[in-house]
Amino acid sequence: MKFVISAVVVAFVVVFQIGCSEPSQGVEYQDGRYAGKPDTPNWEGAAFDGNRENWEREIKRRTRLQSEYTRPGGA
Amino acid sequence: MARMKFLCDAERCIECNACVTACKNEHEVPWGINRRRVVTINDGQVGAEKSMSVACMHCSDAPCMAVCPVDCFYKTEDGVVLHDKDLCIGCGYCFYACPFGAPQFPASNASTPDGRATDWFGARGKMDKCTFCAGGPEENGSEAEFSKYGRNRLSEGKLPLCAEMCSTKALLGGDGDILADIYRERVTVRGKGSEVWGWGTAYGKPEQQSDAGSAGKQTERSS
Repeated sequence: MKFVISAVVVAFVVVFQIGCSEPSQGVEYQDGRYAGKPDTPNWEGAAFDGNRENWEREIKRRTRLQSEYTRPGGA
Repeated sequence: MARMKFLCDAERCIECNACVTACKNEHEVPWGINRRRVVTINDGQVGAEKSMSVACMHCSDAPCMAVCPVDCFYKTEDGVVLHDKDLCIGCGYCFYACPFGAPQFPASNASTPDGRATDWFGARGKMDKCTFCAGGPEENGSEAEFSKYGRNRLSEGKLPLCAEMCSTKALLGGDGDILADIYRERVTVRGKGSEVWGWGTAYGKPEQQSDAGSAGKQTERSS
């Protein structure tokens, strides 16, 4: 009976401490590569066919187009 | 690597709510859920009224990620905070943690456009929020991704629709460093500079930050 009670207490403490934990809030990298949860990268699709450089260039170009001071030149 | 951010210029926002409408339409968001909304302070007071478009700000230190008991959140390489609806239990902790009120929960009587009920778990339902038009963990552009998270514009090389269609360009979205450059240019065109709050700590090029820092010190000395 004593064992059961102590096991329950230990389990309660462990579960309680898990509730107080704080998962990482940053982008996770390992050996310089993304190591977060699996999600297909944006450049892996029909539009860019895995070409990350092209995707980044296009995103940056469209970001710059939001400035009307530079828009006529097309960035 | 780009670090995706939103920036809303309160001097330009005219409270047209087009960003809200565009978001709801683009992602076919059900009734009761507003991934984006426009907040107005001093409403009706001439000269003092300011509006700002607010959604998930994809925080660098996202409090929703910190408190989620099932760890359903993750951050992509581009700094976009996304979540997995298959893991979400609808507890609402993220709603209490978020300073922007971004997490949304479907009402129990809500439904998706094709008629499916959205009360998948309990009365509160799975959490829904702005995805920076980046979908979710499902395959890019798939039907499953669209039905759960909405359209994935980033994978098409496009920016969030709310920012791209903003008529006054009050709402900007995209690479944080470039947004900082755009905003810095606007501030200088308005005749402001280092006296602006946050000027020295804003995102941007290191040399500009150090210039702003020294200029700030000079201003402090002169005042």
